[in-house]
Parts: sequence; C-alpha cells; structure tokens
Amino acid sequence: MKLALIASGLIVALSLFSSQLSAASLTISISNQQQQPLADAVVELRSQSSAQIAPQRIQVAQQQLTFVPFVSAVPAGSIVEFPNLDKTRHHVYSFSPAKQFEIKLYADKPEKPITFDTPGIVALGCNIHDYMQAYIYISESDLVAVSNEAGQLHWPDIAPGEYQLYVWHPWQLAEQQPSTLKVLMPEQAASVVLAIDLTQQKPQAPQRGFGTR
Amino acid sequence: MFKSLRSKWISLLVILLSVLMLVTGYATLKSMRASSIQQAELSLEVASKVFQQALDNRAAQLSNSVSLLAADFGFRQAIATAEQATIDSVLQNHGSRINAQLALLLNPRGELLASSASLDAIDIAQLRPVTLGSSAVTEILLIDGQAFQMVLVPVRAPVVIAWVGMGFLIDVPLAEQIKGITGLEISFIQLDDNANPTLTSTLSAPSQQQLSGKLTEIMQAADATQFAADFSFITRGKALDDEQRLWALLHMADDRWLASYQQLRQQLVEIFAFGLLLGLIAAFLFARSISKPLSQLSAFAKAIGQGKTTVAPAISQDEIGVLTSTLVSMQHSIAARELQLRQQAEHDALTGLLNRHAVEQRLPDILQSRQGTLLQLNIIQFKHINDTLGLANGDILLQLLAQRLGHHQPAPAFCARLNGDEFLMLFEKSLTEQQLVDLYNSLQPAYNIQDSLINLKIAIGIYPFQPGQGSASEALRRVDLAQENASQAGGGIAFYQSGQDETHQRELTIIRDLPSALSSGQLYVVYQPKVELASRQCHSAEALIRWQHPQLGFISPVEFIATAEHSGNISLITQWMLQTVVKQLASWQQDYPTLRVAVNLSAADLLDQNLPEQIRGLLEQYHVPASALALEVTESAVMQDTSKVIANLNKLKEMAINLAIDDFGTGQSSLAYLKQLPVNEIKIDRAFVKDIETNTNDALIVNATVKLAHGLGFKVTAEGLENQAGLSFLHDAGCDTVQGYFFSKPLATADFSQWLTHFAATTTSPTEVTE
Repeated sequence: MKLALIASGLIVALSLFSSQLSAASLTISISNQQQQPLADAVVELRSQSSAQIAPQRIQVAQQQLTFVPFVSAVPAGSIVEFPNLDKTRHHVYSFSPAKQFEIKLYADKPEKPITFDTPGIVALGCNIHDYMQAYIYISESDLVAVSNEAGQLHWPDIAPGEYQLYVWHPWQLAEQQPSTLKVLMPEQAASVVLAIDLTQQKPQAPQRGFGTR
Repeated sequence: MFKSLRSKWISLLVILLSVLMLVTGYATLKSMRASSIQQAELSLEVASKVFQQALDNRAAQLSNSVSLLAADFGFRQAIATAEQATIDSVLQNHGSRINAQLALLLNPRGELLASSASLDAIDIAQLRPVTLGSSAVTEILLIDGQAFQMVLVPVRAPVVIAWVGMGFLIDVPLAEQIKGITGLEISFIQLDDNANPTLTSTLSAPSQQQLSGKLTEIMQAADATQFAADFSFITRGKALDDEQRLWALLHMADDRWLASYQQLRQQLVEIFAFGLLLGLIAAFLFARSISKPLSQLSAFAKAIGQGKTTVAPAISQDEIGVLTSTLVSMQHSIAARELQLRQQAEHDALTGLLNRHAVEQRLPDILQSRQGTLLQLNIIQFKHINDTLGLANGDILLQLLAQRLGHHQPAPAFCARLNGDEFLMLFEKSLTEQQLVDLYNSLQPAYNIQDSLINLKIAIGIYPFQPGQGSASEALRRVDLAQENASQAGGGIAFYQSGQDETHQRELTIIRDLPSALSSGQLYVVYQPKVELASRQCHSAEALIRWQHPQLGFISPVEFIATAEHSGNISLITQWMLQTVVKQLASWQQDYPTLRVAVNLSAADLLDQNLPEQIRGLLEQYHVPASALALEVTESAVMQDTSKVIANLNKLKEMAINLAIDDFGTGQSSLAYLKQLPVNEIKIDRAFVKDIETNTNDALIVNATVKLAHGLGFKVTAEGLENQAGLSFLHDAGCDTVQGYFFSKPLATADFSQWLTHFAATTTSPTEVTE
C-alpha cells in the first residue's frame, strides 16, 4: 500500500520582522485527500531549543461504551486517568511498546492513574469490549494537539522559530515524515493534507444484543 | 415357415410388437440415459457446489475459531510480550486447541514471527498479501509441500499487532467428511513444482489406480463432467487455488446415476417380455379363432371332395360363417348332382331300368352273398319288329315290356336293360317252375302300340345261382347262353345246363387260337389212302387235318372245323389245307405222278366264287396238274345254295379237278339234285360200311347206292372199311375204291410215302397188310 504525504501548500511565511516578535499564534488546518477537514489528527511541533516539558493530567473516559476522546495527545510524563462513566465495568489495556498496562475490571475510577513517560503511540483497548479503541499520542515536546471536528489545531501563543512538524492519525495510510515549520508571523497558519483510510470510522458502541460486532 | 395363417398372424403381431417396443424402448432408454447423464451432471454440479459450500463452511468455522483464538486476551498478551519462546508456546497451545495442523504468526508487515513448520521464503511470500488487509482471510494454500486450508486472522490489541495463521490439512479425513455430506467420492490432487500430481482419495485403491492415468485429462477440463469408459465413475474436477496446483475431484459412481436408468431398462425388458408374451397369447388366440374354423372348413371341404357325408361346422356370424353356409349349399348341390349323375350312369335312358354298367356294379356283391335266380329276356326277331313298326314304336314296345317286367310280382331285386332288346331280371330267391311260367305268361298278352296289338315271342334264359359261385361275368355269360338256347328254340324258357359254359369256353379258345395255330405248325395234314378194289392199287388218298393244341391237346377235326364254320373262319382252314396239300403234291409229283389227293371243302368254301381261281393259282404256282387234286363236298354243303354251288363246282370240274360227294347217304340230299351235280365220285358214309358184313340193310343200301351211282356215271368209294369180311361185301357190291383202317389209318406225310412204296410192292396180297 502506497503511503504518501500530501503536504502541498504548506506555506511558510517568514516575517521581515520576525526577530521582533515575542509571541505568535499558529493555526494548522488538516484535511484528508478529499479536502475534507480531518479530525483526530495529532500534530506535534518540536523545536531545537527544547523547552521544559510540562506533564499534563488528562482523562480518557469510558462513556457509553466508547473511549472519549478517541485520540488524545500528551507530552511524555503526563498522567492519564481512565474514569469509567458506564454502568458496566471495563478492562482497559495497552500492549503498545510505548506503554503497556492493564487496568483490570473496574468501575468508576481506577485506583491509580497511568503515567505515560515514553514518547510513542499507545493503542488502548478494552478486553471486555473489543470494539473499543482509543489512542494516546505521547509526544516529546509540549506542543502537541489533536485536530477538532473542523480539522483545525490552534496554538495561541507560540514562540516564533523553526519547528519540526509531526503529523499522525490513527487511520493514516503511511507514516509521515516530519516537515519543517517556521513560525515567523504573529498569526501564522498552515495546512496539512493527510491521506487516510476513508473507510474507517470511529468506534461506537454496538446496538444492543450480540453478534453485530 | 409361414405356411399357415396362424403363424403368419403371430409373426406379424410379434414383429409389430417387437418393432414398436424396440423403438419405444430405444427412444425411452436413450432419453432416459441422456436425462440420467444430465441429472448426474446436475448432481455433480450441485455436489460440487455443496463441496464448495462445505469447504466454505469449514473455512468459516475455522475462521471463527481462529478469530476467537486471536481475540483471546492471554493469546494477545503473550504475543505482546514479543518473546520468541512465549510466542512459540502460545501458538502451539492455541493451535492444538482448534486442532490446527499448522500454526504461524506474522507481524503486521507480513514477516514471519513464529511457525510450527519450517516455512521457506516462497511460503511466506504467498501469505504476505493477506496481511495488507484488515480482516480474516481463508485461503487454500500449498505450504511446505502440503495442502492447507489456511485461516489468517489479525490479532488486534486493539490495533493489529500480528497475524495469526492456522492451517488445516486438506486430506483424506476431510474428503471423508465431505463425502459424508455429498455422498460422493472425493479425490484431491496436488501438483508439485514439476506438475507431478499426488493423489489422495476416498476411492478404493484399484479405482485410484485407474484414476491416476486420467488426471491430466480431467485437469484440462475444469468444472466439466468427465466420462471415462474404463473408469466406473463420472468425475468433475475443480481447481481449489488460484495457481491451479490443488484440485478437488468429485466422483459419482456409475452405479448411482445409472441405477434408475438400469432399473428402467430392466423394467422395459420386463414390460417387453410381458408384452411379447401377451401379444403372443393374443395372436395365438386370435389366429386360432380364425384358423380353427378355417381348418375345420378345410376338413369339411375335403370331406365334400371325397364324397363323404360330414356334418358342417357350426355357422358363425362372421365371414367364415358365410363361407361355411356356402360350402354347405355346395355340398347339397354336389350331392344332388351326384345323385343325378349316378342315376344317369346307372339307368337306361329309354326304359328307366338299370343299365349294364349298373348290373356289373351290383352283381358281384349279390352273387357273393346270396342265392337267387338270374333271368335274361330277349324278344325274338325284334329287328324284324323294329323294321316293320319303325324305331320309335320299337322303343315304345321296349318301354311297355320294361313296365311289365318292373311291375311283375314277385318283385325282382332289380330289372335291367342290357342292350337293344335284352333285359335282365334278378330275384334274390329261387323261383318255382310255376312262378317262371307265370312270368313267361305275363309277357304274352298283346302290347298295344298306336292301337295296334303286337304279340311278342320272348325267350327267357334262366340261371339259378348259389352264394360265392363264380363271377359276375360268368353269371352273365351263363344266363346269356341259356337265353340263346331259348332263342334258338324260337322262344320259351331255357335253364342253363351245367357244362354249357365250358364248351363255350373251349370253342372260344379254339376260335381265338386257330389263326396263330395255323401259322405256328400246330396243325398238320395226314393222308388216308384209297385203294382201287379192281387193281388193288392205290392212286389216291384223302387229306385230313389234325390239330395238336399245346393246352387242349388233340382237338378233333369235327370239333374245331364245326367251330370254325360257326365262327366264319373255315376259309382260313381251307386255304391252309389247299396250300399245304398242293405244296406236298408238288413234291410227290416226281415219285407218285398218278397220286391224287382229296381236300374237303365246307359249305362256306363252296359259296366263295373266288375259290376256283384261287385253286387254279395254287396249282400253277406249284406246277401241280389239276388232275392230282380232288375236292370232297358234303351233301348238306351243296344244299345251301344249290345253284351257286353247282356253278362253282362246274368251274372246278372244267379245270379237270376230280369232285366227290362226301358222307353220301347221311345228309338231306335229294336225288333230284344228285343228277345235276357235276361230280365224278360219291363216297358212301362209313355208317353204311362199318357193319356191312352183319347188317343186311346196310349191304342193301350199299348195293343200291353203287348201282345208282354207277347208273349216273359216278365212281363209288366206300369209307370206313375195317375188316376183310366187309371188303368182300364191297367187292361184290361193285365199289370202285375203298378207304379205311383195313388198309391204313390216316398217315403223316413221311409215313404215307413209305406206305405207298410198301403197298405197291405187296399189292397182290392185301391181306398181308397189317394195321
């Protein structure tokens, strides 16, 4: 299967007065190969001048027999809680190299949140509900976000400079090579086209009953 | 072979039936076979689908099993460890859970992580495309030289972390399993890199042997039904993999698809046999219903032909009935015609009495078994009546007579008209004399013909007979003899005298044999010398005829000459006699020139006007002088037609032939004729001579006769001199010559010559002459 990064129109505008800028905002639009906005795409910006990483604490809830959100992105060392909002118990696990863990059948809140300190992608599953899927992107840098339904990511305050742009999506057809993004403008915008498997859909709880997996 | 109607019918029906049945059977069997084949093909096709379905089902089942396995958390966990030993163990463990013969694990990029068998690069390469997908795949693959139904399922955690593959051998147990479903024999073929097939099959070993030779052929026509003559299955081949290296063959035993065909064929044969049997019986019965009355009719017609009286077969309502009644009416008309013919054949048309033929038919039986009386009647001088009254009246007369005979009482067994005016009556009993007289008298009253009364003289011959006495022809001849006797008596009744018939037979024999006897030398001439009393010399003799008959012995001349005269054959004898004697005279002319031999002539000879010329011819032929021949005639012969006889005698006398009257004194001669007769001599009959020495009357007659003859100028010869005493009497009476045993009996030619010579030598002493 041919995987291609379509990154046409990645516009890098350098401001003549960049040196004078102390902060800028960055908006990246991500679309699929059909020019439709692509949600759940993860973008990580890495810079040479590595700033300190600020671990986050987020939640990947189990609600209505799905993981919410579908894709999460946190810097390495972040803590993720897996609150169970459903009446049924869940058995959350990951066999991903970045973080392997298992929270055996539990209700409400697990005893401990899970700390993800290795960058990488963690695929979450539930051993009770095979269809349940979720991804946690563990980034090296602080600058990591997930595109919204409009396919947009926004950093309101970002230090101008040169960044390595990493794009990932669970349904991507090929692994993306990082590209360089220079943030020079006060309101910088970029767009990325990412080819994905169009047939994929977000996991949803099946209708009641068996056999419709 | 088809001579009879019946066999023709049967053959026709059987042939028709056979043709019909064969054609029907052939068509039925042909279409049945075609439909059987079609059905078999269809079954195979269905079976092929079922087979595919079975494979698919198994694939689905296996896929399910493997999917479940792949979803097992522990399994996933184990794989996630990425420890080779753990992965190997879990593969082995979980593979054996679902009885997989092959278990392997690929990473999501299609690289082999673990395997229960040693796989080479090619094996792995054919698995790789599967890993590009995202769902479970089932394929039939040739791995490590073995055919597997391979199930590859992604192991999700929840993203695909690996592909687990479980392989299930395609082998005989599988084939047996599918055989259980489809009921067909299954074979799998597996081609190696050099396209050499390996066969695994549920077939028996011999069948596999047979099959192995046909594999190439079968594989060339995939998804088509194969028939092979020397293989008792029909086969359909199906490639299982894309590369066509794995084949499944479905075999349906011929028995199975042919069973209904063979059953039908069997049934057809049975129906055919039954139909034929039924047809035969029907044909037989039908043919018999026709041929039986026909053969009866044929027998009936044959009986009619043979004149037998047979009862006709029962008359049916059909055409045969018409034929029967036609035959019956034919039988009746034939009988009527036959009766009429027999009537005509047996009856006299004029009188209605039986005819001679009928008499000859009936008489033998009656003569054989009965006693009775046979009468033959005859109208005297009927010819004269016919001439007078005319033929028509003559016929009426015969009819009237026939009526009287027919109505006579006691009634005769039958009356018949033999011919002309001869009638026959037969009584099956002896008639008394009175009854015969009554019969005779009943015929006497006058017959009324056209108001003229005619009286008839009837002669009746009577022959009474006893059972088994002689044949019909004998009886008829005897009664005819009797009637002839009665006729000769001028009418009346005459009985058959026993012996009459034998005399008659002897006469018939004589008449019959005379001509041949004359030419064959049975008759001969003897000579009796006549001696002149005055000179005691012999210059003449009388020629007498003799007949030695081979059967009858010596026949008296009196008998056969009378018979010859009676039958009109006397001229034959006379001719022979004259010829013989003249011939002999010719030979004697040398030695006895003065010898004269006398030949007797009969009355018939004297009436023959050619006689003098004939004699003249003879004499001239043999150069014998007429004076050497003498002729003797009897008085009665002369009396027949005196003028004619005298004229003839005159001619003879003119020829200088000596003439004598023989047997003088015994006939009814009249002296008036005597003087007219131109004879030279009279011969006194032996009746007057033989006892002359004792009978004075005889001596007187001889004396007077000699005187009378001499007076008329005739010479006198005495016949029948037997002794010396008589000789002197004759001498005294003045007889000129004497003939008799005293001198000599009649002698044969040679003896007579001898006698003549001897007598001349002893002429002076006649007493010395011995008998």
